[in-house]
Order: sequence, then structure tokens, then C-alpha cells
Amino acid sequence: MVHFQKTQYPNIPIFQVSKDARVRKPFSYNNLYPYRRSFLDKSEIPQENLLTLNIFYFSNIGSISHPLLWVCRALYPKGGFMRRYETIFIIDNDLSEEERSPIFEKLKDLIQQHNGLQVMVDEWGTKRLAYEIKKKARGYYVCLDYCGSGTLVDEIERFFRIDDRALKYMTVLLDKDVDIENVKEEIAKAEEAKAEKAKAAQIDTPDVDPTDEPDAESKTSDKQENETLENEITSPENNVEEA
Amino acid sequence: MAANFVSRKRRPGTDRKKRVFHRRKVCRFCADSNLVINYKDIKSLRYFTTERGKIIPRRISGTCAKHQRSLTHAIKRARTIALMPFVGTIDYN
Repeated sequence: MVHFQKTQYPNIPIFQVSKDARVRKPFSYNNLYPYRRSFLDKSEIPQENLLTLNIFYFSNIGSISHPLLWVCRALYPKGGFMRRYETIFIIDNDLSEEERSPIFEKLKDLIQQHNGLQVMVDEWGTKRLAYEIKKKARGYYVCLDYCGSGTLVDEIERFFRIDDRALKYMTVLLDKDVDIENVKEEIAKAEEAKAEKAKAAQIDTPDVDPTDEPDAESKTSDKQENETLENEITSPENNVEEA
Repeated sequence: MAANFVSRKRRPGTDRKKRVFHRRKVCRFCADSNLVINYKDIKSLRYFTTERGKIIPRRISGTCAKHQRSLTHAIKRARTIALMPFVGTIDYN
């Protein structure tokens, strides 16, 4: 598998299947050529770097197979370079929030290294697993939404495979060809919506001061009450056991 | 003679015709285009599995071939990430 990174443009020779490439089956010709041409038009590769190859290839088999064409396919993937993926992973439930955060930072780093774009991290929180994984019945679900190339996915999956904190992961391809600017707009919109929601929530509860101190106090008191309640509830059982 | 011949040809089992009432089943995803099949949405997927976690066949649930395909795909995805069981029940909290 040939991995192609954007930064490598000028150094590699770029093969272009010329227009008069004679390929017997029209559909394979169509498969090869048009998107490649559109990609080349869009890209900023100078014409001198393009090596035009005339491929005369007659095959009795319907599908075309030629090493050079494999190279072409690897160099110019069908959907372009940016794809949108979604990786759901389950983190060990026993980890505290502080122990969890380095995972997210690491993922962020990985995405930045591979010229990706992190769209959203959606933490679903602790959930019951449908079946035990590594002898654990509960897990902390996180859904990571990002754009990038296949190499990025490889790296992220490799990270999860090595890391013991992740119980399981799954990557799903959402979109084969993504325009980054559109995605960025989407992110901005989502953030705006969030901010508006927060505002609306504030308006709905005008009595609560923005300073959280009284809130926190009340919460802690609630907690204490709950604890006392629980104690009360559990105490009779203990009594029974003792009796 | 002819009548005899005909009667002989009938087998005993086929005499009784099963008249089962078939309600025309409609694919609910075709009927309502707002419904989206997503592997993260377990509540709606659970409707298409048995209590034991098996996928309900098309002939029973009545979904069309296209949507059944995406359904199975979604259910299998949900299984791999432990949102749904491969086997057995799960109490959903």
C-alpha cells in the first residue's frame, strides 16, 4: 500500500494517464481518468512535474490491472484526500477524568500531525456494555469526529491497539470527499448554537447568579443529604444481618 | 373414469387450503423518509431485533431489501462496539 501525503508533492514524479490511453473497457477508463483530471486541475502542481504516460493496455479481462495504474490509484484516491471519519472508542471506566484527558490530548496531537481536522469530541459518558470486554461490564464511551486521510486513521487505530486504557474502538467512514471549509463553517455554526443554548438557559433561570458559589454549596448539601438518606436506607439491612 | 383420475391426483394434505390473512406490510423507512438508520441509535434498532438479539428477518418485519441491508449493517456495527449484544439479552438503562 502506497501512502501518499500532501507534503510530498514536489518530490515524487506524478503519473498521469494520458487522454489517449487505450483501455479496452470503457468503464475502467472512466474509472481512472475523470476524477484524476479534476484533481490535477484543482491542485497546484506545476505542469513540468507531470509525467504523462501513454499506457497501451489491451486486456482480455474486463478489469484493468497494471502496476502503473495501481500507483495512480494510490496517488490519487477516488474521493480526494480529505475524508471524514468517526471513531467511537470505549475507555476504561475506572479511570478518573484527569487520567482520561491525556488520551484526548494525544488524539489531538495525532490529528494535527497528519494534517487532519478535529470536528467534534462527543463524550457519551459511562454506559453499560452489551457484553463484557476485558472482564468489564461498564465503559466510558467517546465519539471522535474528524477529517483526515487513511494514514491518520491507521495511526489512531494503532494508538488504541497499543493503549491499555482503551477497551475497544471502531472507525466508520462518514464521507469520502470533504471540503474543509464547509466543515469549518459547520463547526462554527455548532459552536454558535451551543452559545445560544447556554444563553437561553441563562435567561430561563435568571434567579441563579453567574457566580456558582451558592449553587455549589447547595449541591454539596444535597449530596450530603443523599448520603445520609442512603445510610438510613442501608442501615436497616445491616441491622437485619446483625440480627 | 376421468373424475376418478383427478381425485387420485390430489394428495390428502393439499385438500385443506391454508387461508392465512396477509396484511400488506410496508417498509417503515420507505413510508417515513424522516427516519434515519444509524448504528448509534439503539432504541430504534432494538425494534428490529428479537429479545435474544437476533436480527428479525425481512419477511416478518416487512422492511424493503434496501433498508434491511442498511439495518443489518447498522446492527452489526452496534454489536462490534458493544452497544447491542451479539447474543442474549441486555437490560437497557
